[in-house]
Parts: sequence; C-alpha cells; structure tokens
Amino acid sequence: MNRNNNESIFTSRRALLKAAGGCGLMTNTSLMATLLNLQATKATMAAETNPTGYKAIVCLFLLGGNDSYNMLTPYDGTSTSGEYGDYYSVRGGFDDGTNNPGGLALEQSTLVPIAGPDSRTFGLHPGMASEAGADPTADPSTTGVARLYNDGNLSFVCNVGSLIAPTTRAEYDARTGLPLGLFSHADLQRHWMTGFPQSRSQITGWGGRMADLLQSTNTNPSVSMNISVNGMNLFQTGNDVVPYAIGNNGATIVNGYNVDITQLGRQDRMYKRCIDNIMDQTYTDLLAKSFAEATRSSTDAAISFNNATSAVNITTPFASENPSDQLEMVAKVIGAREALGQTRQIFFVTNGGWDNHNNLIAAHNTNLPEISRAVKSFYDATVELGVQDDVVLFTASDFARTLGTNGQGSDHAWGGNQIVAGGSVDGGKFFGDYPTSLLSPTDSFVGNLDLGRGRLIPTMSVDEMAADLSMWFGISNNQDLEAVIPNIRNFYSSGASTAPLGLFI
Amino acid sequence: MREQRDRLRWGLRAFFVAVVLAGFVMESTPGAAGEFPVSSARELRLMKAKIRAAQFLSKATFGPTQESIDSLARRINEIGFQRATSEWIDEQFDLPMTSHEAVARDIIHVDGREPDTQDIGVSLYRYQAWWHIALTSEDQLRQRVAWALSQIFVIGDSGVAFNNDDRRAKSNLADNTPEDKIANPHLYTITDWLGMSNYYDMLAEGATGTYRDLLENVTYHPCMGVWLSSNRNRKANVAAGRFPDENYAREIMQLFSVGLYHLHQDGRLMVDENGELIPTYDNAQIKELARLFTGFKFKHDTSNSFYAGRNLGEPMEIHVAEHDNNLNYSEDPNAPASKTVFGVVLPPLPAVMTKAAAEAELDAGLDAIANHPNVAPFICRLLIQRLVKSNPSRAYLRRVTRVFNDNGSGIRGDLRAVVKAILTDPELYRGQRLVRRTEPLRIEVVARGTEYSRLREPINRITSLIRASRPTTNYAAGYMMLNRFIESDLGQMPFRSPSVFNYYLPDFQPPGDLIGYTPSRRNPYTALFAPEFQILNGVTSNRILNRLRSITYNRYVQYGMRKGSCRITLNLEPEMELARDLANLDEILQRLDLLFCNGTLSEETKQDIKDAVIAETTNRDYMYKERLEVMLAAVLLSPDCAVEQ
Repeated sequence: MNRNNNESIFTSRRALLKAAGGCGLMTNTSLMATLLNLQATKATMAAETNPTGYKAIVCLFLLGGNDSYNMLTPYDGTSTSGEYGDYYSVRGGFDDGTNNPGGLALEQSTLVPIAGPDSRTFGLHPGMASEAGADPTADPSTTGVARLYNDGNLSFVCNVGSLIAPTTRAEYDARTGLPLGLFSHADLQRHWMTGFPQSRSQITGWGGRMADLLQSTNTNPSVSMNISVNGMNLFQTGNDVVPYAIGNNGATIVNGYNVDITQLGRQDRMYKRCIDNIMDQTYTDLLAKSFAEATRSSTDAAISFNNATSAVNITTPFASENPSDQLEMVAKVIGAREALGQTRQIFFVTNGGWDNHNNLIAAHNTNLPEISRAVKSFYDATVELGVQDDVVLFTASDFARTLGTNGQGSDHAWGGNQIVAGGSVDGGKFFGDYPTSLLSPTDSFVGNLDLGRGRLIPTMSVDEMAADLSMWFGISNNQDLEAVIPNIRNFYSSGASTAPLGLFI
Repeated sequence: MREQRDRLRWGLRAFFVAVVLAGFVMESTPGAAGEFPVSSARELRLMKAKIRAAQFLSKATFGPTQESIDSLARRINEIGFQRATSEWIDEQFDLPMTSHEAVARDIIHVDGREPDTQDIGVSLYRYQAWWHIALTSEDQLRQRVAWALSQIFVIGDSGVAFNNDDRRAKSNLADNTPEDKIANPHLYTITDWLGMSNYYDMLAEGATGTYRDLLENVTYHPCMGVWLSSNRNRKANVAAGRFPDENYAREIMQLFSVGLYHLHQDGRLMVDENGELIPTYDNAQIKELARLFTGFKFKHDTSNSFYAGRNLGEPMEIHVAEHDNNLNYSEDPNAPASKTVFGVVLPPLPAVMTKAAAEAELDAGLDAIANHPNVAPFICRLLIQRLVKSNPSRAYLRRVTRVFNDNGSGIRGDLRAVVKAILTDPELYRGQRLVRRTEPLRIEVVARGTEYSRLREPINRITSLIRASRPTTNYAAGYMMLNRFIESDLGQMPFRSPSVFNYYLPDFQPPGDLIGYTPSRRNPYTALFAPEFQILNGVTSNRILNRLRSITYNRYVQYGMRKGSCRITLNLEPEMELARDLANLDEILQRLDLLFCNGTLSEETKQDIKDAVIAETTNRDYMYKERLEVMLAAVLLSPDCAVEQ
C-alpha cells in the first residue's frame, strides 16, 4: 500500500478505512476487527508510531473539585508569619470545634512536612500518610503518599488548571481568551477531559485521542485500550475509540450466552441464537445500530476480558473501599496486559465527594486518606507486577476551591495541585509554581493571581501536563501531539525534544 | 381511496416485477417495518388505534397494559386521537395525587414499624414506595411527569442527612422523649429521610401548577437547600473574607431555567454578528444571584438561631440577619442598592431588613428568572426528551413553547397545558407510520428512524415490562415493589442521581455513527443527541441483559424488602398456551410487540426469533414455557424494542 509518509497516522487510517469499507466512523470493536484483517495496515501503523514496550496511564479523577491547597499546604513560618501565616490567614484560621466555625486552615502541628523547591518546606494533609496495612504508629513521612514523595516516586504539579493559552491578570480582567463557563463543575470537568476549553461541543477527550493514535499497537479486537472503572466518560472517548467500562470486580458477562453453543442448555441455545441473529442485523436507525453494537461488543468483550484478568493474582494489600477497589482492578488488568494483547492502556477511575461547599474539613479527613491508601497500594502493586516504571497515575479534579471560606466550606475556584506517581516520574519534586504567598499570590508573568476570594489563575495548563504524559506514552511532538492536545502550540513549540514539564526521568 | 391506490399498486406489481421490486426496496429503506395482519376493515381500524394507544401510553405512563391500550383505543376510534388523548390527559390530571411520602409511611405501618424506627435502614422505604407507585398508581401521567421533573430539578440522596432515621424537635417545647414524639407530633419534623419523598411529591404536585411556582417551591425546599448548599448561606463579610455560596445561583440558571446560551423559541441557538453563541449569564451575574440566595434556614417554630435544627419537610425560611442587604456586606462597597437579575432591577431593601422585604426581593428575582425568554425552549426541550423523543423538531418545540409562554388564557408556564401540548402533538406518533396493506389485509408499521427515536430509559424498560405482564404481588396490602439495588443493573435509580447533572446530559452523543451525522433542517441543532446512551456501557449493557433474562425465565421479579421480600409474578399464561404450537409463533410475537414495544418489532427481528425457536424446539412442544420465556427476553433485548419510536 502506497502511503504518504508525511500523513499523520490519524488521517491515514481514516483514509484507509474508507477505502476498505466505505464506512466512516466505527466502533472500537468493529474498527479493530477490520484493521486486524488488514495485515499490511497493521504493519505500517506499528512502524510509524514506533511505540516500544508497555505503558499505561491511570487518570484518577476527583469529582467535585478537590480543595487541593489543603492537600498540599505551605509550612514555613507560624500562624502569624511566613508562608504558613499567609495560608492560615487566607483560609480564615483554624476551626477547633468551638471557636472560629468555618475556619479552613489546617493546624501546622498536624501536617506532614516535606521538602519542596528552593529550600521551602510544605505540609501534606495528615491523611496523605495513610497506607493500607501500615503500622499506624509509623513515622508519617514513611507511609502513604508521603512515602512515595520522599522515595522519589511521586511529584506534585502546582497551580494547574484549564487554560486556552497562558493568561495574564489583565487578560482575565478584559475577559479575553478564557475557558467557557469558568468555575462550573460541568465545564471544568469537561475542559480537563477534552483539553479544549474554548468549546462545549468537543466530544472527544485527550485520553481518547491518544488511543485513536495508539490503539493499533494493541492486538486484541474485543477490548478497548481505554478501560474505565467508572462508566462512560469524555476523557477516554476518541473519534474511534470507545471506553470499555468495567466494575470493581471486572467485567460482567452475559449469562446464558457462550460463544460455543454446545456448552449451553437448550433454552439458552434458543436465547443465544436470538441474540446473535438480532444483534447481527443491519439497522438503519442509528440509535438502534448503536444499541446493537453496544450489546454485541459488551457481550464479547466481557468474555475475553475476564478470561484474561481472572488469571492475575495480586498480593499487595488494598483497602476495601473506593478508589482502592477500582485501582486494585486496574492493577489486575495491567497484570493481564499480555493476554489482552495490549501494549498501551489508559485507565479512568473516579472518586466522588469533593464538592465541599460545607463540611470541608471533615470530608477531607475521610477523602484524602482514601486517596493516599489507594495511590500507595496501586504503586506497590505495579512494583509487584514489575511494571512500576511503565505505569503512571495522575490525579485530576474540576478545580481547586476558593481559599476564602464561605462559613462552612469553600466554593468553586480554578488552579490547583495534582499528583503524578510512578517509577519513571522525576519524584519528590514540584512542577510548576506553588505561590509563595497564598494571601497575595503573584506571578511574574500573570500578575496578581487572586481573582477574589482566593480563586487563583492557573500558572500551569492542563495541556502542558497532558503533553508530558502523551509524549511519555509515545505520542510524537508533531501533528500527532496537536491532534491529541489542540491548543498545545499556545504553550509548547513543535519539535522540542524535551517535554514541557520534564515530569519523567 | 387508499384501498384503490393499494389495488392499483398491486396491479402494477403483477405486471412490472422488476420495477416493483426496486420500488419495494426503496419503500423499505426508511426504517424497519413490522406487520399486523387483520381480518376485516373494522379490525384494521381497531388495531391501528391500539398501536397508537400503546405508543402514546408508553410515553405518558410507566408502561401500557392490555386494559389501558384497549380502552384508549376504543376512545380513539370514537373521537379521534387528538381528542381521545386530550380527554385521557384531563382525566389523569384530575385524579387525586398519589403521595410518595404517604405511601412510604403506609408501607412502614403495614410492616409494623414507624418512619423513625432506628437502625433498620428505614430510608430504603423511599425506593419501595417509588416502585409501588410507578407500577400501580392510577395517576400514571402525573407520576411520569414527576419522574421527568425529577430529572430536571435534580437532587440525589447523597445530601447531608437525607437518609437519616431521625425526627427532630422543631420547637423548644419538645423534650425529645419517645413518649413526647408520640404525644406531640406537631413539635417534631418529619423523619429526615422522608424529606426527599416530600420533595418528589412537590414535583408531582407541580406537574399541574405553573413553572414559576415550582421554581419557588424548589428554591425554598430544604432538600434543595442542603443539596446545593443555599441552606445556611450567609451574606458576605468582606472584612472576614467571606462571600455567599454560589452553588444554587449557578445551577438555577444553568440547569433549572435558562441554560447556558440564548435560544430561539424553536430551540435553535442564537448567534451574534460574529457567529458566536451568546451566553445567558456571566460570573458577575452568578455572584449577584448568590447574594440573593442568602439567609435560608431550616424552619423552626421557636428558635431564632440561623443554625437551629434540621427540618427537611417544610420550606426553608429567611433569616433576616443573614440575607444580603445590599449595603454593608456586598463584595463591592460601591455596589448599587439593588440587585439586578437578567437586567431586572430588584426592589431595594430597607435599611433595617425585614422578612417581608427579603421575600419580596426573592419573589422578584425568581420572577426575573422565570420570565427569561430562554425558559420555554430550555425547559420544554428537556421535558420532551424525558417524555417523548430525544430530538424534537423545531416545529414541535415552537408549538410547545408557544403554550409555555401563554396557555391561551394569558398564563405563562402552565405545566399542565405544556404537558398536554407535548403529548397531543402529532410529532409524538410520527416516528411510526401505519400503512394499510392488502392481500392479505394488514397494517405495516414503518419506523421513520434515527431522528424520531429514543433509547428507552432503563427504569422505564423495567416498569413497562412488569406493567404489561398482568402482574400480581405476594406482599401484604397489595404492595408491589422492587428495591434500590436494581440500580447496579440499570445505571439509574430515582432519587439517586450522582450529581445535579442527572444520569445523563441532554446533549450526550454515544460514540459511533451518531457522531458526525447531519440531521435534517427540521432539527434545531446540527447534530442529534441520545442522552440515555450515557448510562449504557460495558457493565450495564450486560447486566440489563442478565436482569431481563432472569425476569423472563423466572416469570417473576423478586427483591428483598426492608422486611421480607416482594415477589411480583408475571402472568403470561395466555401466550404460554399459544406457545405449545409452533404455528402460533406469529401471533405470540404480535401480542408481545403490541404490549411491550408499541408495534416496533420488524419482520426481520420476528423472523430471527422464530428461526431460533424452530431450530431448537421443533418437535419439542413440551418446551412451550421455555419458548415463551425466550421469545419475551428476545423481544425485550432487541434494538427494535429498546429503541422506541
């Protein structure tokens, strides 16, 4: 097959599909089934993308907007001085249960200190030392997320948020070039997932678009490389790739259905024949067609998926809670990567309960330990599987929350702090700038970051973080990266060989 | 006339076989077709009316039954579709409302318990009551509209204390002893968990009121206050760095009234001179509105404290000291003395705040929202999506929004009139063309396809399955219930939306062919949407299949209740008797088609099912039960049935 070398894999595969079947968009399953029957195509694809080895990305989305300036706090100084003093003040002081109700500051003595950039010390919320099965009397710097940071397997990305382009305070005040629907859940979740904040009509996410480019490196036709442990989502939806949703216990198979009809009793043989006959019809109603395809691919996929994952045994302890349950399942799927024929996988895991307009302190005391336990167990499981350098987990969240209190909690804001964890992460570091004063946060480029009430303009874009992840994953810094992250050239130039943040060693 | 045309067509076919074959192919391309053979013109007319009745009832109720189809069909034949359905709607709306709170209380009493019986997960009665009402209540239309409204004015049971089993003092005269709670019930609130049922009843009642009143009731309802944190929302204290909570202010505009962009009355998005969409509000408007929604406290009969008690059963009250007074506490010290909502200047407040002044200001603010021209196209589209179809045409929206804006008597937002306009509109049944065919005499049901269809909500797939199967229950007092936990199969459960954004978004497009499809210009948008696909995934697809298989194979639905279990037995005996003979397969499928799929089964699907049955059970008539069970399962899982027209 004669192909133009300059053509991106994205467009060329489309062209090829058209030639092959005259069909436009197809589901992941039928797409892969088609591709696998075209050996020449497959070979060409592999040669062009040239990804090597195995890699997986795990997105842990904290739904509702994590108040992440209480996950990772300033530490230097006292309640009346230095960085901690500014933090203490802007968060309305400490609520000891009787005095100062609604104060959102964490007490300095409860924080787990960690070394930050420029000889600054920061505090982790005490929950960030939580670890499944760990000795509760252990030094908190040696457990949970704190341990991963101190061991160099976890870093923070600071004051990151959705932007269209680097945005100054003057531009904000003039309302130019801003993401749509600032500070609403639906919009900022969508923007994190699509990487296209100027639009609400973007129907694919950067995880999905990455998979569009890399799906062909996988060899199993019935399971998408984008696996969600929490339902359909925009992040993993590509132009061709559909996320495959599983539960904490893997895929649910269809009872009474077996590929081999002789394995079934007579009633189920009738049943299986009905399913096969009906779902193989050609439907002109596109909703009926989509429904039939979803039914068919779900039936087939669950069978092959469970065959693969049930063979994997993980001994690393996970807490029996979310999101640990979900991440334990992700670890099993990673363990089954060869059986699934997957050299690239993108996972989506969610955790709710972060929209703390009230009860922020109590909610964080529950939520953050759950995150710490989950992230630590998951990292340990990748070590057990011997893939710790091939797997990276990152957190995302709608937005951070107002530093100022509303008397019960905090409201929707913008830039916040996120976790990136994995053996190949340049660990124990901060990427991006954590403001030196949360009371009067400024940036040399942006100017005054505080839009009022402690809503901070991000000084790092989701796009830059996504670009690091994409390039690590095997996307080249050319038109392929632009296909994945449409606004990336506003932040990062074509042809640069080092990723924008340098998150990975 | 029609008959003559048909005869002519058949005549032509006899002579020009090739031409006719081509013509036949052309005719069948718009969509799959199914047939209902009939023996006389009279029967044909009745069968047509039955199909129309079933189609209507599938949208206006939780599922048709044989009796409801027959009785509405008779009426359609007597006075025509429009008048018969109008009459039916009036009768339905005039029925007494079934109260979720009252039914939940009664089930508890039947079980020998109280709503505040401790430590037995009493809140799960909320879902039992919902199922009983959906499956059996007479006021089906009101309940179906309430279900639709609950997917617009969304709350979910993850609100603080929503599932608690406490009754709380709402008066300082209460002494909180069990004896006092019995002797002086008026000193106590309803049990916390009944708050959501109370909220749902408010929606059911609102189905025949005005939008403006409903918006006010929603705004003042304590469950909404907790859910979107307007409860105990304080006015700003700039010196202390505290500002009003913006949650409710944002969502009331984005989700409950106007949406994000200016709309034409036919649903199209307006654009400015540069072709850009025009936002309905900005962050400044959110902040302004956040100040309006300050000062809400739980109703308490004696305490003046802003933080007194918790009362999820009575409207919130305004605590004057915490209602933003436009003077000393606004974020901007130079703020004007009045708040402005969508350009409407609200009345100024007195220097010494009064409850009446605060309420008048809220009234004016809600007026300004409810009068925004976007409300009609925004709310009507959502209602049509929940009741009738995913992609209403511009003409359909224009007809319905006209009624929303003025019910004919000068009243705006008359929801009873709006629902009637939605359900009596010809677009309701236009997705299925009923074509008379002869030799043999029959009705051909031709689906128009994509632009006219909707994936059934999984909840409605279950309710309509049970309702059409002549169900009986073994539970005391005739209660017919499922529980909450079917949610893991369906991806959906009333009262259980994961967020204020409902189970799915109105603009969701499933990955696949719908993306990039350009609909006709009848449509207000340049794309089609199918929200219900958002909860159809690799888990729910298989789990729904498994649930349908277990229900049809068992011919009963059985779930654990708070006390014991409830078995709903499906009576499919007449069809089962027919299944003793393979010669009856067509008749069985026609019956199932009418009862469960409003006549949408294509001949191809029926043939698929017959092939399977014949292949496995020829000369095995003793498997008549298994035949019928599989046929019903296959009908229910088929795209023809899951996707309604």
